[in-house]
Amino acid sequence: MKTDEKTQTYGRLVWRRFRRSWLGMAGLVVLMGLAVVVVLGPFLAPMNPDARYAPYQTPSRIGVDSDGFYALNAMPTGRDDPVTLQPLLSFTGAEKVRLTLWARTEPYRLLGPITLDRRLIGTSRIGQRAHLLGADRFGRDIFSRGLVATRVSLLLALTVVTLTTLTGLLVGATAGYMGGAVDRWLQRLVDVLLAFPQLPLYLTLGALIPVTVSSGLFVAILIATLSVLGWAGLSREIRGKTLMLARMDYVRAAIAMGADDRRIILHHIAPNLMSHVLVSFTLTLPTIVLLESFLGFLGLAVKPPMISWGLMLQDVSGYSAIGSYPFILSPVIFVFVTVFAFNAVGDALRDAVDPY
Amino acid sequence: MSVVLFLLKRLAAAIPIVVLLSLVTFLIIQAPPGDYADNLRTMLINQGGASAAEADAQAKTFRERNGLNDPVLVQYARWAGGIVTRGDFGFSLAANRPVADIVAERLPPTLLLALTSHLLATALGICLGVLAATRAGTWVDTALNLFAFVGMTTPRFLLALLVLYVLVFRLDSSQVGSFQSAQYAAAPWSLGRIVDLIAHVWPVVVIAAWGGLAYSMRIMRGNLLDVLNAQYVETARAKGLSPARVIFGHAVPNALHPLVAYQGVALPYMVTGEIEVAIVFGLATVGPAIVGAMAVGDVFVAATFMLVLAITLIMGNILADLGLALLDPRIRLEGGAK
Amino acid sequence: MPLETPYVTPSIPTERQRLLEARDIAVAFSIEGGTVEAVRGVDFHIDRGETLALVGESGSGKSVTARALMGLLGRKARLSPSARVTLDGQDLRVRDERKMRDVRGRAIAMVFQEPMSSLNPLHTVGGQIVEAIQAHARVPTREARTRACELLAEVRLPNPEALLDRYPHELSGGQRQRVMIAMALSNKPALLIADEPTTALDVRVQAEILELIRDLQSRYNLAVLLITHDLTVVRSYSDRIAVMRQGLIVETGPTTAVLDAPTHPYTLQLRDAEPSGYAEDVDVEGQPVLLEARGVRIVYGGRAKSPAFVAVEAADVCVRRGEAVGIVGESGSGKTSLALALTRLAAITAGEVSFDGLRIEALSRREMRPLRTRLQIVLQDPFSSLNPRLSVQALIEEGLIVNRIGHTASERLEKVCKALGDAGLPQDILHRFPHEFSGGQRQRLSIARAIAVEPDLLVLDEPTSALDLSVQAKILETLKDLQQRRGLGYLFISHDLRVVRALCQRIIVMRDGVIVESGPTRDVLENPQSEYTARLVKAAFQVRHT
Repeated sequence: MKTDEKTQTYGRLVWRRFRRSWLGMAGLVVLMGLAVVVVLGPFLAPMNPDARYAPYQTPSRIGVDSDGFYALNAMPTGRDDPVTLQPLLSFTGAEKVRLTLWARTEPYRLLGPITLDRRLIGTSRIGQRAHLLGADRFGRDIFSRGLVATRVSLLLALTVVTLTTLTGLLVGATAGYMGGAVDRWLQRLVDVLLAFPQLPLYLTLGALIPVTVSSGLFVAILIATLSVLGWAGLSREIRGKTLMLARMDYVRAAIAMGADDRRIILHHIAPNLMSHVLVSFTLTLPTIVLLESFLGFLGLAVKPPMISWGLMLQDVSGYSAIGSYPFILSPVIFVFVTVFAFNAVGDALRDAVDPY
Repeated sequence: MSVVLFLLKRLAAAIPIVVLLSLVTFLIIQAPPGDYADNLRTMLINQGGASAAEADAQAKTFRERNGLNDPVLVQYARWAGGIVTRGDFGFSLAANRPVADIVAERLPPTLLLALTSHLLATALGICLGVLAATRAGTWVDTALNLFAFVGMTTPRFLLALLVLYVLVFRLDSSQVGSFQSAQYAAAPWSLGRIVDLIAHVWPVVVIAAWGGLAYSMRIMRGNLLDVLNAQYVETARAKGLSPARVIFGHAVPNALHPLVAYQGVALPYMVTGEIEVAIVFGLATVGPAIVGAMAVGDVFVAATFMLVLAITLIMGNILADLGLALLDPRIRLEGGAK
Repeated sequence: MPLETPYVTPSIPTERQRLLEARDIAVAFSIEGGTVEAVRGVDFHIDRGETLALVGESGSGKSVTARALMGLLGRKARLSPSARVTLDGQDLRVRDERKMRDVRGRAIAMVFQEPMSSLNPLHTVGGQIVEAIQAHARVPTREARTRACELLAEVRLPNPEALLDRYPHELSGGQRQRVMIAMALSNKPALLIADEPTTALDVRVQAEILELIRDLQSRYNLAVLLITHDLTVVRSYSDRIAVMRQGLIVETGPTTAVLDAPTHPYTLQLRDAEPSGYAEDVDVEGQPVLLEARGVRIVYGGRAKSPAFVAVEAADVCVRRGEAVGIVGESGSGKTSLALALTRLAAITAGEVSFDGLRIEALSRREMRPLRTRLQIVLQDPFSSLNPRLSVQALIEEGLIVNRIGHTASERLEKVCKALGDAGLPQDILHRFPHEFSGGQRQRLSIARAIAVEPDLLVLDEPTSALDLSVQAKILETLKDLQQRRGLGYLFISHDLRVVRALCQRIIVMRDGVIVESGPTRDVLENPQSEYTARLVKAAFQVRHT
């Protein structure tokens, strides 16, 4: 027997194994950062995400001098590029825009009823601009929009994945434990759902949403759409695991003890399913985030005043702008980072939960 | 049980699913108010300069002519009946061509691309998987694992966007978005034409294969590590066989099993990848066709493509199961001696 | 109680040549967190034609030692630089992979424990033997096949020609082991290493395989390194014995001498751990019949997908309060099905089962519940019998909670502690989790869980089969103690006749779903009425016939 003073719950065991994966730990750090961004997004954004300035501004150059940080914005030189016929910009002679911490800004709503009039980092004077990742076609700061969009994109994904995970868990466990006709019919349903080509179906369903619905309703419908198919795969896995668990000796022992079905499911089967559910949850989130971005790229995005990464990528489709203004691809960075972080954590979690 | 019987059983089981699928698809597509005739009407007003009354009349005639007034189920029955009896998948309202033609034009490239990507991904994945497993714990393994992680998590359509940007706007490539350059389009097949084809489609294949390779590698590595610990591998070593023989004669064949089973999952994954990338690149395959059809309400095209894709995936699954049965004498000789 | 197995002196030629000499074998494994010294400096030798038994419990290092001889240690293992192995006077460079490849399968061959997994499932039997032959000599395939056929005949397999094209999964465990032996002998090795060759086989098949090895040994002057934990096998089949414990050889010498008069305390402990002797008689004259079964029939399947399989055919069982009844049989005899059915954990197709006079075979689960506290079960696999998520306290308390025994938490705690104590476990483990315990301790936890509700009858399905000999001995002690103290009755299922003999007053012998014989243990074992029982007894207690 080990002589640890602390008890070795399963949770602690998993954590210890998780810690060994540096990729997983890195991912976890990023996720914590993302959580902060979800809550404090508008505060962390250097500029007002909806304020419009000159369109398609090149990213500002950030520099530091004796007075602190500053940003340089490229100014039109008055001449045009002979090939693309776009105005040529240059940084020479640009005015230094001071950046300060705890900068004053127009009041905005942070979260619910909380309004603030300060930002973490911002321009020293209201109305000045500093575009870390450039400005989009309406002159809005991409970096700020990207930060604020984290909230919608992640919360949307979280809702969808919660719904699909709960449904998959419920259906799978029921089918696995009850067996018989219930199981057979549920399996047939799952078979049909799994046979649907997923992406085309989402495209189809998405295209059905009338253009005139309000932003909130649109999001709700989008969530429902993405949840329709997603639970089928998980339910199959859960069913398999439930079948295996129901045959475990400790379940037999519990029956021999006189435990009823409710107790067995609650105390013996469900806890042992949780690890699988948690891993599945963590690994499904990035796929939904990606789906939302892709659908947005195809024109199926949330509506302003909401901002999501998918909406930002909508500007990229048509490819007319990216030749001259490649920086409008930068929302891609946000998605990449999020997807990598979730996958890293999910992978490490999967290995920690079941190293065999 | 013989192979033929196996196939028949699986096909029979698949039919109700396909029928149900086609019905649901059709209903979904017909769900929103408005149909192609409305689209026609809008176009006539906006681009044709017709008045509202004229456009209405035209739309009405169009509807009657194409049977768009009938109840949904009747339309479905007509469509499904057409497929079964005549192989007639309906008429594309937008392109004014039989849907079957469009499918015949778009489906083969999609499948070919997906299959090529898949074969490439699997072959490379297996090799790298074997490499990683036999060098488990060394830096080679760690590097390959990292490579697999990046490959699996990289979103394919985002990668496609980046590659597109680089190719078109940085490298001025004119080979994106089509299958062949103009000069080869109608020419007879030659080496030059094949090279040209590859030059055009390589981004799609590579990007689609990228994720699949990582998957295959991971699975192969995992399986092989398990198998290398199996008793029969130790027996093989104890017989005095060379390491190569032990790995490739005994370990790898047994590790391939789950990989064959995984083919059932892999095919939809590869097809989805191909669709995503093709949409980004605008290549004339299934993906853009569906997107285009949905945008204008071209019912028959969209429904047919859905149906055809679903059938393809189901067939893929069945073939994968068949492959597994052929490979494994334990399954093949089901019912043999104890 | 005198040991009943006669020591059979094998025919030993007076002059034996030294075949293998191993000096200072030490093996360390690097695992995360450090190194583990599996073997810590071991010397031994084997002469031509003799059998050396390497005996020890799990973790003793015996398997690792054998693999060191073959150079089959994995990449994570490190052999000490001073280790030396000499074969036939020549230095065997065990670290030289290429040289060892030549030796493996030719000069030294090995047979492993699990016949189920020792053969490649994708290759035919013939193919694998031919491969072994062609690995060491340029032999055309046709000739190799002929030789393979001869080998299969030599290991007494029927229809060798046809067998060549069979796949491993089509053969039984015993047949597969014979194939392994044939394959090992294909290149006429001088030394055969057999790592627990019969542990996974039924008792009668065990005897046959060991006989076969002995026979081949005398025919080919084969030396055998027999690795095992079973002392009966050692007594009957080895000339010399080396006892290993925690990486060291604690005692070595001629088998007879060592086991008759062990000098090292561990050897003594090992020898005494073997269940021996008969169970004490228990007076059950006036005691009520607790569990009674009449004409129980259990049939599986019978639907479209699977053909009907009769697991148990017309079984009659009777257990009185306070007595231990053992059910013995080989695998497939139906003993587990019967045990599960009697406790209503599996369905009964026909027949009657009564518990304390009440008919229970048709009761619903809800109706069974009040009886559950009186009839408990302990299962075989220590690793799947305990829910990994529950603490020890929660595990044992569950029965109390479900059956509303004990009104307050402290009352329940008292009962939990008592159960732990009676099962031989310390009291301070309440907040620990199953994965922190060894196999033997987990079985004790299962026992504690079962006795916490104070049952009258305990059904145990192979509770010690997965455990080491010394651990098993201690648990049997605990069970005997519980029987006395609490007046517990047992229904003990096992394939091990020795264990059943040591614990149970009455015994039931099953074969292929049918009860072949039953009665007081002493009567049945000493005067078996059926031929099957007689063979079983001989195989278990007297493995080798004179």
